[in-house]
Amino acid sequence: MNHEAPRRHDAIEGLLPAYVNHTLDERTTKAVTAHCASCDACRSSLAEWEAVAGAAHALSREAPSPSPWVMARVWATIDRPEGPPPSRQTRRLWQVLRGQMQLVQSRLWLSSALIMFIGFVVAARGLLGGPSVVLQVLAPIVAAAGVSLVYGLEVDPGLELALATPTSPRIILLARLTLVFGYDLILTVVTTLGLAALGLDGGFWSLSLDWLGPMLLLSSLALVVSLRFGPTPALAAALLIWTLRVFVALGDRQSLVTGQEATVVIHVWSTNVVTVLLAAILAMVALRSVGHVEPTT
Amino acid sequence: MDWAISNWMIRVSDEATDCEEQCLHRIAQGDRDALGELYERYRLILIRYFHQLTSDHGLAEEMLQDTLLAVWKSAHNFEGRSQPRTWLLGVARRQAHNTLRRRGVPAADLGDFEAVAEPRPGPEEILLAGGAGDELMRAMGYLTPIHREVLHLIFVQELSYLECSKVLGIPVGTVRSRVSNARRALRAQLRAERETE
Repeated sequence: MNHEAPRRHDAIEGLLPAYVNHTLDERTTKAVTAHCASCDACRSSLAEWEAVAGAAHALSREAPSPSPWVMARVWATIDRPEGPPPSRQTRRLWQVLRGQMQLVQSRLWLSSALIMFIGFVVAARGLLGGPSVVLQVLAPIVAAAGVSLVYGLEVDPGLELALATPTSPRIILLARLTLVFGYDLILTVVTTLGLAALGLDGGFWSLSLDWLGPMLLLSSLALVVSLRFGPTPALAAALLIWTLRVFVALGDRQSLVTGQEATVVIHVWSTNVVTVLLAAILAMVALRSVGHVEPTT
Repeated sequence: MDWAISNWMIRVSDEATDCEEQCLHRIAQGDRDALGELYERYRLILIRYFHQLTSDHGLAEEMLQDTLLAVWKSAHNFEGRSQPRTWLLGVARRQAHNTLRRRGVPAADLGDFEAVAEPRPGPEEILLAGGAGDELMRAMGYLTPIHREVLHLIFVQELSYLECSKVLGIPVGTVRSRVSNARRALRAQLRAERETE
């Protein structure tokens, strides 16, 4: 029994669409032409494929031409500056901030508010050296403590959830910093306004300059340590540095400590251009490091 | 086909391919005129292809714009391993599917169509060959986009099975069976139309 002829017929039948669209090589095309000349079934199938090809061509010609402004729109998109439009960016930033507000632990908000309230009461009564000293002591360490705890799985299980989202770790850190540091800043400003209104120990600006520089520097330092070594070492480092600074300041005031070293320490830990610049550099270093290092546990 | 004509067509086709390759290389270097040239060369080819996937002209134009943007951004990825037309149709298809997904247009259930058996040979074959042009074209309009697309790529864009498999991202064997299934679906559509008349 000869199976060769049916096999050849099936093979040729399968080649017919390629024969119709002229994509077969020269030798195969000749073979198909020769086979179709002697095979009624393949000739009929070929006629069918040719009809299908004709209908496909006719259908495609029915499509209207593109509008004249298509290319202009493409150029407009290409020439548009990179990045989403500002309204979308603002909306996205707000979404991230709102999401992080729910994830940052509520005890951070409560403890900061409570400490600043106690500070306000103590300063208003003129205790512990009055508003200037109380604000100088409390404001930097409250903000630094908040910043220390803002980005570590050890103290914040919600961070794990936040980091699992498509939002980049850097944006999450920035959102949390904005929320926590911004909250502590507002608390301190409100406390300062309250104390200035009572007319104790200088006006608002004078009191603000007492805490602003140290608050920025200590917080950015705590952030760097927190990202590198974890929240607890950051908190410990901030407390240690600030305790030493307070002792030096107290010594300076009561003439217990004198000398060039004390002057340098006090100058660095006060509000001036160097302090603010140093704080900005440390904050940038911290932000750049996010994404390269895993959050510490 | 006369072989002299065939050889002439191959030579013309090679020159066109070289020209398109150069065009893509120029686009990769940020040559804006080159993108304009490519658009003039391909605007009808692409819009006709997109109309096999959607009947909405606005959507087809959106696909065309997205494709040109994608070409502008990714022309440097063209390495000449496939024909420029094949590469371009592959980009066009990806952009078309992205656009459809973005607009929430449901994709056809591919599994059902791929599972259809080879068409039975028989007198129905006469149906297509004997069908009037308009009737056949109308029946083709009722095919699923996936079948219309493969017939368009093979018979209008004149891609080989291998090129078609690259554009569609499926094996050559699947292209072959999809073409056969499209013909079978076309026969069924014609038969149904004639029965209702």
